[in-house]
Amino acid sequence: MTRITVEGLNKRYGATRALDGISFAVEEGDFFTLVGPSGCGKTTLLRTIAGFETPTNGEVRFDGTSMAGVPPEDRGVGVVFQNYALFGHMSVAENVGYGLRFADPPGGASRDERVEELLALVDLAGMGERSPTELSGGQQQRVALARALAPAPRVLLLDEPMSALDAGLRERLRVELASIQSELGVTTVYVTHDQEEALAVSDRVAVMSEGRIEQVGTPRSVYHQPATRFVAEFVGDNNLFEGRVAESEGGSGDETEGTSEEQRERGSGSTESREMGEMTTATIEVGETRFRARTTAETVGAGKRVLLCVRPEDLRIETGASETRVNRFRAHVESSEFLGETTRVRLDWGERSILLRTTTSAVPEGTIELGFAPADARVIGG
Amino acid sequence: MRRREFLGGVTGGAALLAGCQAEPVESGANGSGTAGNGTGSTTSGENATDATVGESGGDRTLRVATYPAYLDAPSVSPGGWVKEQFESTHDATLEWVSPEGGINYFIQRRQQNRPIEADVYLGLTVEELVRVDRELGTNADSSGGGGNQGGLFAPAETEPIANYDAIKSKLEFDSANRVIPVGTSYVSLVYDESAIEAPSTFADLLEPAYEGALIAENPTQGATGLRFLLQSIAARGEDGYLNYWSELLNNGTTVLGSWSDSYAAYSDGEAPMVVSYSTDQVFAERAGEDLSQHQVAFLDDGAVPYTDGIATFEETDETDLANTFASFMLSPRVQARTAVLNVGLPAVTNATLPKDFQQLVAVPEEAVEFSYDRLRGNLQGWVEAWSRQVAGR
Amino acid sequence: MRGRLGRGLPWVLGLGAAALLAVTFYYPVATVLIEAVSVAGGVTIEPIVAVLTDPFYVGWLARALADPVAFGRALLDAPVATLTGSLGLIGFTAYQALLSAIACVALGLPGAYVLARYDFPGREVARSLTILPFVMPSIMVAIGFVSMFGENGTLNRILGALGLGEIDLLFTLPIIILAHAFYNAPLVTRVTAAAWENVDARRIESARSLGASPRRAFLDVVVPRLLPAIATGAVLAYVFSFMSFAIVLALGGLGFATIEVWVYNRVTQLEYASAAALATIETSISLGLTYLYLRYEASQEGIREGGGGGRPLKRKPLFGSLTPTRVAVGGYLLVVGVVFVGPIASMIIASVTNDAGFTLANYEFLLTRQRTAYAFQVQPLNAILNSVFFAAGSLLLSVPIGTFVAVVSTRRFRGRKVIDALAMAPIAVSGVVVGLGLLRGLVFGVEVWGYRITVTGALAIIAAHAVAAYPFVVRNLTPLLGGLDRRLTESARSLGASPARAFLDISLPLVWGGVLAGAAFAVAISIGEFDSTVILATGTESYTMPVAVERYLGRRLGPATAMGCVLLGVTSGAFLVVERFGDRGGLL
Repeated sequence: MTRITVEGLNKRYGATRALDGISFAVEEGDFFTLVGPSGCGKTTLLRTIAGFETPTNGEVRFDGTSMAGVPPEDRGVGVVFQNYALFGHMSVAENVGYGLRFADPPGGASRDERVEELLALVDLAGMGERSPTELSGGQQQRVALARALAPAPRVLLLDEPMSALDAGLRERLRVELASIQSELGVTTVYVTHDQEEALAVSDRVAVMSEGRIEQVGTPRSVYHQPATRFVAEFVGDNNLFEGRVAESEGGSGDETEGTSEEQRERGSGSTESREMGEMTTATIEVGETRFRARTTAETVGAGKRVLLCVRPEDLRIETGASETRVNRFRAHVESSEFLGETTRVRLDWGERSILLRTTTSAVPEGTIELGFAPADARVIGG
Repeated sequence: MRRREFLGGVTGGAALLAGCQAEPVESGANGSGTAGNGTGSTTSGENATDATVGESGGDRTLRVATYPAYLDAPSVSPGGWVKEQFESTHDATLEWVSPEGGINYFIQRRQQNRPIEADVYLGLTVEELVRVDRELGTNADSSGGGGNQGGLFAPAETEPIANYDAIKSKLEFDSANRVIPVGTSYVSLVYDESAIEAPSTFADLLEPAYEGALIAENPTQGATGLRFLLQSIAARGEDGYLNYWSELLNNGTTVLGSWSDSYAAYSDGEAPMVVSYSTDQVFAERAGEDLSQHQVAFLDDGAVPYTDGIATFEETDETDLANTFASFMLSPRVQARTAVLNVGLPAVTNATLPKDFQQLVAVPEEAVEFSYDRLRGNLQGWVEAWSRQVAGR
Repeated sequence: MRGRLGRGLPWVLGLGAAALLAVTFYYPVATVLIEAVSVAGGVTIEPIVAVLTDPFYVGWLARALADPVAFGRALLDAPVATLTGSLGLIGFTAYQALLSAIACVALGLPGAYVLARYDFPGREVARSLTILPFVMPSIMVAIGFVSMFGENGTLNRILGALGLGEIDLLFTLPIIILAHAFYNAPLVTRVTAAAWENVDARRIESARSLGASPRRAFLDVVVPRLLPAIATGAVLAYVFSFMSFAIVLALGGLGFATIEVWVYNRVTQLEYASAAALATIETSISLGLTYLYLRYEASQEGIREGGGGGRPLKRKPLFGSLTPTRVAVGGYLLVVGVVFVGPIASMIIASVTNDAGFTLANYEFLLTRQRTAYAFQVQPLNAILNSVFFAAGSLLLSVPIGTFVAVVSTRRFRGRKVIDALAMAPIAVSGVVVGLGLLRGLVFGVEVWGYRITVTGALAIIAAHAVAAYPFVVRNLTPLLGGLDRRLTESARSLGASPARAFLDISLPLVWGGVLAGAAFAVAISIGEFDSTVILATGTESYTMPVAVERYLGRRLGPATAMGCVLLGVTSGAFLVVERFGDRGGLL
């Protein structure tokens, strides 16, 4: 098991900065995901870890040993590419066995045994003699995974391995992938542009944008405590309100309601998410309306411009008898989509577009009253 | 001599590396000039011949350079007969050297200060001698054995050469006697009498009757093209020949590259007339062809002779053997035989040709002569001006 | 250590290739071209300026330079006449090369279509044999063309029999262009057919599924993938036609002289300065064009991706119900019959006929020659064996070198296109100049530390052939390598393969078709080569089939045509062997 440390990585192509001061660490056996829109540098970062790209400066370390100058073939990395890059002129078994030409199979197994073992692992037992071109996309993906895993790499690197597959297969395969990964315990770096996929499979997630890492954390912390506007917008649906801190006071008021997801998350502690300072409740002015939100003290100096984020699922439809008395506002329903488990409602609140996700079977209509708990709102420094 | 052993070892050891050699650079341009140099790169192909004939050929070897067709033509070529006869009548070995590029090869070797690696050149023409002298800055007057640095051929002492006096006087084109004529022929028109009547003057060729009728050759690519150009210069003058050619081309004359190109096109009936040799019927007769398609015509009753000779390289140490070879080549028997084999005319007056052969070789009433001196000063300019005119059309 | 192919291999190959090129090409050629810019030890541009200001060479350009005002006025008065009226030697050479390249594409493209999209018995053989024209010595092409297109040629006899009148093509520009097309159109065919076969059917299917008509899908999917190949063929055809020499003189005449004819004339007169100046200009134009093309090829790399694992298009049967396309294909095959099969067939017929009719005398001549030739004469069997031996040698040498250069040129680094263009120089430098350089550099030798090194004989011939041939390997491979998904080799690297090993295991098998195509060209170039062979030969022992053809060319064409047919037969056999053997990967 290998710990990956990336420190001060920069990669420039002429004037463009493909990687801009990237630092993070992947713990032994972790499933670590790089997520971000296309062009954000995540693939370049993965390729740098694999040794296919040489960083302009900064370095990658495996278990503390610098990989500078170590060619890919000596790094002990297994790579699965988006298109699988299977060797079309070799059989499935030859593909899986290719890496064993250069390293003895682990555990003293023979090469054939190891190939069989891997094919069984990815549920392709008996398919060894086939040509990769005869296989379906999902099967090809699994061959690529088996091939990458066969020499027992220190690190498994996956570059958008699911993006060519249809949605159902994708979901099934990512569960399989996660289980194989945790079974083998191989340190894994996974690149995807799909934030849902990132949240679903990862131990930890790094959100990237324009060559930089915006935030590193557990899927939950990244989801619930976006550190930047980019993360708040990119990871999941979100309602963002630009506002100004009207006042900030310590202690808890009468408006605290039960517990929220966020509070539990805070309890578990997320060292890499922004350092948690002393909690406070602040009043944020969004236009004419004042909202209250629990947040850290230093974010909310009075008068500062901030961004107030509320997840669609944290918005509630307030019926007259609701116990919540703060953070209420009236918005007009524009449209709604029935998604099965939930319904997504688009509303208009004084020129602002609002998203609401509700489990209520009754589809709201007209002007309704919305509200959210101060603990469910997130304040990001402007 | 050590070098020969060295080479023997190399060629015997690794056939593939046969051509890779490193030898100490000899001091001075003239080198040692020993017979051992004969195993140079261009001649090692005759090693096999050396071995078989060498047994009876004595110690001495004469390296004779010549043009490829003298040795290897699809019909007949004199090379084999000459070698066998010379070796059987003299205590020496004859080694043929036939580098691509002919005389230019040796001019370049001299220019690059490389040993010549041949003793005699057989088949030298006047235009080639002009080129030798132009390139090496030599001429008939200044050339002398060793007196002139960088010369290629030495003047022959004619006394020891048998039958020298029998050479037809008009054939000699080098006043310094560097070249001894050994054969001649004439460049003429060859035509198909079933298609056209023989033209008799240069003016005839401009007539509508001969529109598109003639194929000529590039003068820089062979003896025939050059000689036909020279004859046109003789007929129309240095000031008039370009005009004449302009009219000739307007009348549909085609100028192709080599004699082979032209003769092939003529044989396929592309035109009823071609610039070729006056010995054409000899070949036609041998091949059993219809002689009506191989009629020979001389314009203005004349033709420019195509004479070639033998010249001894300055660098040789085998001057005596070279003279012996010249005597051999000039002997009436060899003159008669090589004329037949080479399909030309002897250079001496006392060689007797077979009757039927003699009948088939057409000879013009007048030989249109261009002296060495006239060519030396003008040839390049004439050809250049002509080429530009033809190619610039 | 297992499977770790020495990392030194690329270095060994690189240095070996560089040394070979330096010794058998760059140094010899430099010894000649230097004369264009040096006079008595000093540097001068006088010879080049002399050419570039001479109306004979540059036509109206010289007038424009000498008197721009007058020229401008003439241009305004009669623009077309002024520009086309006097092209000059260089202008004409470029002009006829352009027409030839267009003819090559016009005649070659349909062939690629037929080979790539139709199935018919003997398709593989037909494809192998498309390379045949490439090996034919120009004198044989001339013989074939005269007996096919001449006044009394096969074509006119057929036309006459059909009552269609007569065409008179010989000694005209069209016949020169047709002969250039005969040589080079198959090149367009081969390269384009290979690209066509590499088109992934799935891409067309997805275009169709997105609503594209078959025509639209063809334009949007197939054409972009064919264009680089067509451009490769067209540029090579242009360069070869630009450098054409013997065929121009034999079929057109001196009136259609090209730059190379003039270089040859200068060299035979030993006028090196003007020959070198002309050759320098000639080479600059060819290399400049090659460079521009390589830039274009590089710009196309982006649209080619995902090699390997694609599904080729399905072939249609050639024979079947008469559709308009099949009729068009039939028409094309008729043209092929006239332009390509005709001259070869005419030559074969010429080899077995004389005035009296059928004869085997010409082949008897070859047998007699074999038995009775003197040691200093060319023997047919030796020529055959030499040709095969040299071809095999240059194949073994040029394929690794060409592959290496192709790999280097698909790497990204500054100035790589310049290096790439320089690597193409062997096909862009005047053959006459190369010959002269080989004579000076290798036959006369180089002085090194008091020793004079000369290189002649079999080894030198093989090296010279390999140098002439390897650009074809490069050009066949570069597009394929450039189109290979780099993730394939990266996967291999991540699995433990060294770069060289990943190349051999992964890239090479995937571009094997290109290697084979290059190998076929290498064999063709070697077998057809004449100039360097006779210069480097150590006598008759290293003479080849084209040399035999030339030597057997006398007043009668029979013996030479018979030898020419032997050459064609041996070459056809060699190609079938190379491609059949190679298809099974047997060459690895």
